[in-house]
Amino acid sequence: MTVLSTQAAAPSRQRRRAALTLGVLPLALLGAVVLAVGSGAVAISPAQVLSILYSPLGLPPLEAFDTQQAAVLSGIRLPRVVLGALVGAGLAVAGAAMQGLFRNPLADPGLLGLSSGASLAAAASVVLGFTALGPYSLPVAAFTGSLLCTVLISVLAQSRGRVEVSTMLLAGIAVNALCGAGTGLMTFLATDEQLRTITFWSLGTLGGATWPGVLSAAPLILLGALLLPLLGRALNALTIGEHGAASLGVPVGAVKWVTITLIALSVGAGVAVSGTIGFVGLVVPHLLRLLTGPDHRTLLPASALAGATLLVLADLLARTVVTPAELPIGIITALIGAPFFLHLLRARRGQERP
Amino acid sequence: MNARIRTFHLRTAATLLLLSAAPALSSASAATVRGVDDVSVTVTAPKRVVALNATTVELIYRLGKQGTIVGTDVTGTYPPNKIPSVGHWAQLPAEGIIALKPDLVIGTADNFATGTNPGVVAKLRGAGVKVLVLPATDTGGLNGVRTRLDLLGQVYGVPGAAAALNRSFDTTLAAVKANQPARKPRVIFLYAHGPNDASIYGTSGGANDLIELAGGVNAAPFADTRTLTAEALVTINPDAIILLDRGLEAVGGVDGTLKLPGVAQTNAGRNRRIYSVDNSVRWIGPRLPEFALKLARQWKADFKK
Repeated sequence: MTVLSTQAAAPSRQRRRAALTLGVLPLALLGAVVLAVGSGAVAISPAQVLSILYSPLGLPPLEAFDTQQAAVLSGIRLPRVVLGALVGAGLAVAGAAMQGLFRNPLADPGLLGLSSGASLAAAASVVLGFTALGPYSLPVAAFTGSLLCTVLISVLAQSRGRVEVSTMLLAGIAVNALCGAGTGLMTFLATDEQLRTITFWSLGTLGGATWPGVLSAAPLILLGALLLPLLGRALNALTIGEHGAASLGVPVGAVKWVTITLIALSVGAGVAVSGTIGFVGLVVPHLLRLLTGPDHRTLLPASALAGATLLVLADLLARTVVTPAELPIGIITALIGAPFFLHLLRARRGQERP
Repeated sequence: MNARIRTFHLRTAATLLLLSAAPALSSASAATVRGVDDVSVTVTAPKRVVALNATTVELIYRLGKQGTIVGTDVTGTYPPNKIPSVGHWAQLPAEGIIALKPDLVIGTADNFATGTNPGVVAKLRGAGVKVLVLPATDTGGLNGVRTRLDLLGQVYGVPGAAAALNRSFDTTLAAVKANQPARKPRVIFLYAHGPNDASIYGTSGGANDLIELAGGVNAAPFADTRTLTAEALVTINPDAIILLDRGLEAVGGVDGTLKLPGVAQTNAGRNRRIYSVDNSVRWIGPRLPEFALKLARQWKADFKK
């Protein structure tokens, strides 16, 4: 509905802005990554960063560095920045796709039970002592939990082979409440140490990033970040309703299933490795809709790029504002995201008033 | 009791003076110390140490080596100090710790097992930082403290200071033994943060060791920290209730404690047998014997028959 109301605005101007945004965003992401890789508690100068990065080539360094700086950069900071970019892209593109699919500006991957299912499974794995997979036990449990929850909600919302979007919303709310109760039970059963683990996991952090972790989540997140934008045309058609889209030749049922599956995989993988990071999936698409208009062909890739940039910067803040300590990133995204979102709301209401 | 503590300090100080007066004895020779995770570290008189967990900081102070501590976590607040904090013990930042340029990171097995910390230990070691994992601080009672003390004595090359502190534990323990109450009180440790919240410290952890050393019996019907209903509290009917100092303050002192649901209906409530102990008891540290002595003396006076 919101999508439709803004679609009438001068299309040519919007197309120019869209092109500009898609041109600028990759540069913004690159800038954010360079900034994030070059900053942190351990001092590593830009010349040293470059020298460390190309050192495998065997060329002489621009500026001498010690092995500890190299280890910090390649073993701690780089995987963290890469994970931030991946998770941010996954969350934001999934948020944009959800809002398109549900034709509702409040839709968020959380509605599919992705966060609550992951939280329940993560808490259960901690409290019940599931350690069979070593350091991967919690992420694997969280990923499985988020997928199971999404499958459950999708099955509940299905009637005669079709997914009822409004039923899905309601089923999502109910299943989320159920998972919340389960997580509460686990919290109750937890020892003090387990409780800390659950609390900090649910605040979200990229601090646990390791290359094996990043590489195991990357394919799933990239699947969503790269393939969801291809559904732009179909999601555009859906803005005029399912019947309208079907009459334009869009295979509505298939689009819904593919979208939900891609969202579940990319967000589920992100949540598994970084905990629940709120507000990125909700705010980023709204911000971009103001810049580029509602065309999903621009909105989806732009959301992925902006989400990646935002999370890389948020994590940079998380690990530098209180050095040598660090803040959970979920606090930063909500602390910046919520007031910004309120500002957007107020600003738009001002515009819409006749 | 204060006089007694002062004598320990004097004794420790005297040992330290002796050691420092004879530099040949404490000279910097490399020590190889094996952590509880079977990873050994070889150190020569560490000068920049990140000491994680309240008890690690306390023990290093007791060894007179507090000048080497360049970082701790939020719990490392005693003795009062201005050591930079790397944040919460359940979410340690690898890069933040490395930035303090430590030549040794000392933490405890219980803290390192929480959350993402196992990954952090691996990252620190990957970046060439030595990490010594001490035994857990919530099990093993005073013997656990002795083990950690011995390891730290080896790390700093001050076995004499460690042994002196160890002997001072024995002296206090003897005093604790001499001050046992005639009748063992049945005790509940009320872990309260405010008037509407009262969990119970169970039979595992530092609070339990404190109760048993001081001559009481922990009446908690479970091992970990759980909530207990007012009715269950009345049924257990403890003779004494212990709170943390900050807990007693938060609920409004002894009178406030008596207003908590169920408390007034217990023997402890009826006889105003409410006690408070130091906030740090959950981690078993070098002050455990002192805390026990204080409590034992109070109980000896209150539970004569």
